[in-house]
Amino acid sequence: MWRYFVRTIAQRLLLLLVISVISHAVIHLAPGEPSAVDPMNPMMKAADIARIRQSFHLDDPIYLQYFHWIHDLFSGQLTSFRDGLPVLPRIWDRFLNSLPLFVCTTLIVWTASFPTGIRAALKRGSLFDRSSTFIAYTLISIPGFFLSYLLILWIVRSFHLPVIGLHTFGTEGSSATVRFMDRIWHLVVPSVMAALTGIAVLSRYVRSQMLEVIDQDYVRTARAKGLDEDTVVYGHALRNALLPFVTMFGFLLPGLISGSVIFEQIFAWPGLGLLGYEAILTRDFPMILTLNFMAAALTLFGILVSDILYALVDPRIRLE
Amino acid sequence: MRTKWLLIALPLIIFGVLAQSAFWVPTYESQAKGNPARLTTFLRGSIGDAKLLNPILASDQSSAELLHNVSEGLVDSDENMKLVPRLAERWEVTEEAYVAVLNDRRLEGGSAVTANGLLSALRDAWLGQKLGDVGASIRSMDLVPGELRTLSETVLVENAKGKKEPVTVDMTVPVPERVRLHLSKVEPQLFERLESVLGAGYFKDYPFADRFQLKKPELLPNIRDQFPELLGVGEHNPIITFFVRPGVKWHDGAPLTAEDVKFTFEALVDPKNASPRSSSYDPIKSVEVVDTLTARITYKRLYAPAIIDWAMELLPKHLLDDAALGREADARHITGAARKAFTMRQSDYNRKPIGTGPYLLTEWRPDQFIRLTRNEHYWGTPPEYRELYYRVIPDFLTTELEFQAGALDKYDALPHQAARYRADPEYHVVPSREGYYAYIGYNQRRPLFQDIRVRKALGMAIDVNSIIQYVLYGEGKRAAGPYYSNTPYADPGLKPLPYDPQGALALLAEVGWKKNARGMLEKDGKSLEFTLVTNNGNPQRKAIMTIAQEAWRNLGIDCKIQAFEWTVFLEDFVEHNKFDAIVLAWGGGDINPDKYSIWHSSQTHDYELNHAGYQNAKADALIERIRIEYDPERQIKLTQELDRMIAADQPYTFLYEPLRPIVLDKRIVRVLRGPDGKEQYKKIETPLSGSVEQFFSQWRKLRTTPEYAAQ
Repeated sequence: MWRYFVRTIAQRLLLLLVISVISHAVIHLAPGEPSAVDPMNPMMKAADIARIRQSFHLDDPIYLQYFHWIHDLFSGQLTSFRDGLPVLPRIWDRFLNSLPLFVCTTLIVWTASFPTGIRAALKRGSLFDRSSTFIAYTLISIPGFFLSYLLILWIVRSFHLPVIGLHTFGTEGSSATVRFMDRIWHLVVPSVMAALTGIAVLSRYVRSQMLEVIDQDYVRTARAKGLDEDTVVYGHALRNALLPFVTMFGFLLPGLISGSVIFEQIFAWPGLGLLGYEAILTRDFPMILTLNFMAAALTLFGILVSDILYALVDPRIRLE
Repeated sequence: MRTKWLLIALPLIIFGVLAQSAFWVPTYESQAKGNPARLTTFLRGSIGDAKLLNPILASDQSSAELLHNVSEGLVDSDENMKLVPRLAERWEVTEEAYVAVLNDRRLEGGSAVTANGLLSALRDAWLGQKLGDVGASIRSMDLVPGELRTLSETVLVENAKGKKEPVTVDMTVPVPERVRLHLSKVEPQLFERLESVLGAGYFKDYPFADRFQLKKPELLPNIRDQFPELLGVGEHNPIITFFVRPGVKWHDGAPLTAEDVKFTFEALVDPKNASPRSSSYDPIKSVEVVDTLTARITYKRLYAPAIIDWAMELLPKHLLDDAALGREADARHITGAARKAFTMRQSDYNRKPIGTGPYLLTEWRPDQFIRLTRNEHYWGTPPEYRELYYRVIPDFLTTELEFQAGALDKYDALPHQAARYRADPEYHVVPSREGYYAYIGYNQRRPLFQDIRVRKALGMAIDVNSIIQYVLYGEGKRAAGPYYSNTPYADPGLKPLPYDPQGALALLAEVGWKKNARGMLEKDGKSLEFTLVTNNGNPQRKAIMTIAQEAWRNLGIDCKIQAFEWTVFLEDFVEHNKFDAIVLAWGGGDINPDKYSIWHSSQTHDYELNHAGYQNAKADALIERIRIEYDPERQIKLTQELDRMIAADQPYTFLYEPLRPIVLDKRIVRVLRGPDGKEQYKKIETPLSGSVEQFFSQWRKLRTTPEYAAQ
């Protein structure tokens, strides 16, 4: 067990190093320069542009730039090209904004998908099954931003309620309860929108997993023993159908970093996704690289968590 | 059993908890009503957050716009695009000119040149009124002894890998004895006049080239061309003296002095700060503080547009000089390498700027909003609005919804949206200028585009008026030449190229392009084909590209079109001038008449901005004259001539100058005070400068829509 951990962590650290080298190279070799270097400014002399490039180490060989980045990152001195501010505190601030959205979305997806999927599987071919399938595929095919606009229009026009931002603008003076509830409300709409596709996909997945186990021999045995239907379904079938979902929890983690660019943009939600998107547009290399690095680290960590969870819930699997 | 109910109950509970929060949220109405402060608060949306609130370092639109409320420059441009005093009460432009004593020359009379001989010859000519109108500007002259001048210039040098690197060249040069002339105004023609005394060609030959001593002699070829500029036989030193407005205070209470002017200049050119604006201040030789309220700026050479650069917002020396930065680093416990690298770029000032302007920055919630509060100790007329918010809303559609719900006071509508607001009695639409013009540029390095008739024919094939009508929904003005049509520099009589496809065909036929069997144009067995490129992400440019392609195809021209991501487009096509034709725009619709970097034939290399490779010796001469012409009226005559000349050459097909419809609540008005103190309301209009917010400080939101006084 312990040997497994040591080995797997060592392997993953090595992999992380490889990923960081490759992603650094890819990002630097891709065309484009930091926006502070503005070649189209008629008032700027070529020598001054070159000087700005130099101050960002952009003319150094690429391996040196890599070491600059890694050194600055781990010594906590990494600053953004955009405004010269340290990168890590900024990511941390944005992370705190993204976290509630992520938690809320995940909560909605995972709680709503199971009852829908299970019912659809149990009443296979029924009106509920067919309509939920239809709705699921509709939700998967309609672009999220379009639905969001419709929903925002509807809420703003019919209820006159503000929906964008972290909280209603200008409520600083209200009571703590109002401010808290206001923040919750501003979470609801974006997280519901972000959750819709998730619900559609996950509920289909639950349905097919349920269908697979419901025809298994042990389920028939359970029925033959004379157990009541609910015990058969929720006690025997569901527990086994759940196995693959346990591993999916691990894969959720990188979602924390990537966030949801589209919803954050539409709802003016200052989260990590938007931060990364803006960094890419302005070619803010330190920011892009650091976010990328963290996403890679979280993905690898997520896979590790999945492995462990799987071993915990499925006695047939051993970590060695 | 329990599992089943849990599975059903859990989502319902979560939804219930989430949904009930809606009842706690104030609706838009309740936010506006019963809130008298709302009338004195102006809310504006911004697509992106400000990045760095330091006027000399900021390079983004949001920061620049916001800083305009917080900080001020010495001069400003008014609604008619004329320079007006702001933090300077007034200014004077004078000149000091130097004439080197060249001992190996002979004066007009035949006597050898000596220092005293030269001085007395010049003085005699001046007092004898032989120098014409130039003589009238001379106030005195004297002798300046020779000296050793130490110089340091930055040049681009190709390194071993063929990449260009900036290298600083340190050198010294002995300056000979010189006669100094003090002039009451700048006289660009001074030396030409003096040649009548000194002999023709006195200033033409360059005797100093081999006197420069370089620390690294191997750099000589890189700097040689700049020698005449670094030490000339005759040297113009224009001088601007600013008289700083007395009694102006920074937001922290410290008085504004000439020291701040000097400091702002030093910060701009300090390589440590890597200011993107440093190039503009390169012609400055020195900034001296004459007394607490007088700053004297001496220029190395003639550069007429120089004064415009003093619209640059000033920085407070007492908060940003080395001592202050040192204190800040101490307070923030910055040590070691970070301490050494600690410059103005890292200072907290950039998050809470201190200026002299009408508003103070009071709160900044990153990526949410920035709050500005009225400066109650402002030296000028205080603005009407007490508070000003910049809300960050990255999406256009949600911005519009917030505006309609009343949570924003101003909406920068897209052209297609303007019509519906124009029809709405609640709103008032004012077109503002976007400050750029769009064009199709032809690469004149390509033989095809070297013939002016081809460029002209291509332009005549495109119906620009219908582009304005259908792509811009009418929100644009036709562009005819390189100067913006609202500036005095543009020739008001200049007619844009007519839409005339038949005429275009005739022109092409003149060059030899004839239709072949397939209906395509052909010359010597080769068909007329080229590629038109532009950047992705700009629907208008893409539309122009398609319209041009279609228009040209109708003539029988095979044009391929492609769009690339902005940075790719710049690197692969524009910067290395590797394109046939491009759709692009020139921004910064400003008051600078200097078009050197865009149109001068010396600026056609890689990374330079004369992408089209336009070359015209007459235009070059004009551009150079415009740069050194200090008399505004004569300068305007020259720019109008240049406008006509470039328009006639059609290096670009000049398309349009777009307008941006600004939508405002009708209750927002401009308040004017008569001499008797009575208030008068005026509708908000677009001034000549095109900036709707020119008079923002006089804007006020009323409770009801007003009746306007007859105008």
